[in-house]
Amino acid sequence: MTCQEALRLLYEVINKEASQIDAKKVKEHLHNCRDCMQRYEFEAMFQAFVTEKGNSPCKTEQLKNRILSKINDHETKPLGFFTRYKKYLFLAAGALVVFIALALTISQLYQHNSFVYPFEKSHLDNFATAIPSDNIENLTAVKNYLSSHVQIELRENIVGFKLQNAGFDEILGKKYAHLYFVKDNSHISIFVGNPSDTYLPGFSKISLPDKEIFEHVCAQCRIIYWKHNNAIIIGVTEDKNLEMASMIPLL
Amino acid sequence: MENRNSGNDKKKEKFEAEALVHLDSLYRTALRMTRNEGEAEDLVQETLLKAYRFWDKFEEGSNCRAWLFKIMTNIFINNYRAKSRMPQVIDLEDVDDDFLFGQLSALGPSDNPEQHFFAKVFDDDVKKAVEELPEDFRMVVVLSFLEGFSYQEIAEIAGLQIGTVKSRLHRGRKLLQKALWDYAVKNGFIKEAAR
Repeated sequence: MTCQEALRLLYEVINKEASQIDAKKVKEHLHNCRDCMQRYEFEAMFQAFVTEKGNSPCKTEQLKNRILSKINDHETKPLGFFTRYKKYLFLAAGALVVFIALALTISQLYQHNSFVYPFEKSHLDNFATAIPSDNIENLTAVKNYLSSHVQIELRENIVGFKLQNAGFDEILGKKYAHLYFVKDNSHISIFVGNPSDTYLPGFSKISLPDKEIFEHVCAQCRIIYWKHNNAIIIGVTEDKNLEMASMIPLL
Repeated sequence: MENRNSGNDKKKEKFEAEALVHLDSLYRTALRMTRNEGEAEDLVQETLLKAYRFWDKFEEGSNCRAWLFKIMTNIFINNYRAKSRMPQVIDLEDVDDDFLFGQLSALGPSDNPEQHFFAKVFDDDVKKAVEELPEDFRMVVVLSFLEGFSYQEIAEIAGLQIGTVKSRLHRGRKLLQKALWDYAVKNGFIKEAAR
């Protein structure tokens, strides 16, 4: 190996980066070449000198504490709000769902109790104390009321339902003609009121080809209403199997 | 919750034992690279917090220190390097490979000029000489001379070809020797040696 070759590999030898073969060759050369050896020793010394002087200890205690406390903060923060509070968010969402369901139930119950129940009660009361249809006085009054106020002609027997009783009820502060129909074990009350601006909340709209009907189905009863000639007509039945729309032809 | 906490404690413990132990070495390098204590602290903090965040990406058994330096080098290059960086033109043609050795040899064979020289250079001079190296050279010089990384490791940390690492080290070393010689002259080494 020449001096030039040895010097070219000098730093790789000092840095222990030369291959074993190269390192061996360089070292052999150094042992035989005083100049190169001196240069090698100097460069090795220089390397060690810079390493030593450049690496004086530094004070990093404070920095370490700062980083550790940041890590502790970070422990939760970078996870993000969602991950951190996931459990609570789910709980809150669950609670909200329960709350909404409860609110809906309560509101339905309230609507039912306030607006549906009076009709339902009237229907069931008359059902319990059904008076035979020979109550001519009442029937005539109801007929007159229907023809003069809402221009409806009362039919006593239709689609198998027979008019069994008729009279007047006051429900929610309004006067209604109450017609009571029977077919087998099904009973239907039809209430006819005036004016038609009566609004019953808690009903959902179903559209039939020629009419808009509002229905309310609950555990207790089935009730529908629709508008006819400036009148409101309300049908109630306790029969859960009865087609709602089958009440319509009754008037 | 309990599980997560104990998991985190374990992670933190491991991080402290394997990563935070390199704090001094990271800070030293950061200081040489940024030349500013505040920035160096920020750089190291950013590095370690990032490392902590990606701790699960660190392959166990691989070189944690090199991994940390790679993270730090990336952050430094992206965020800390002078924005209006001029291309670094360094004329080293007139500096011989054996510049310092030659200068010292020329002082005379009688004494032990190297020993004298090294004794005359202050610690701060070395740091200053390193810090005044152009950035590209400074990085490889710091990683090699001060942190003892292998050429291969430096190549990976700094994202360079191994040949580039070698040539930058070579030129960085020459610049360093020239700078230290100049300091020594300024410090009165020549006068004393000549006496």
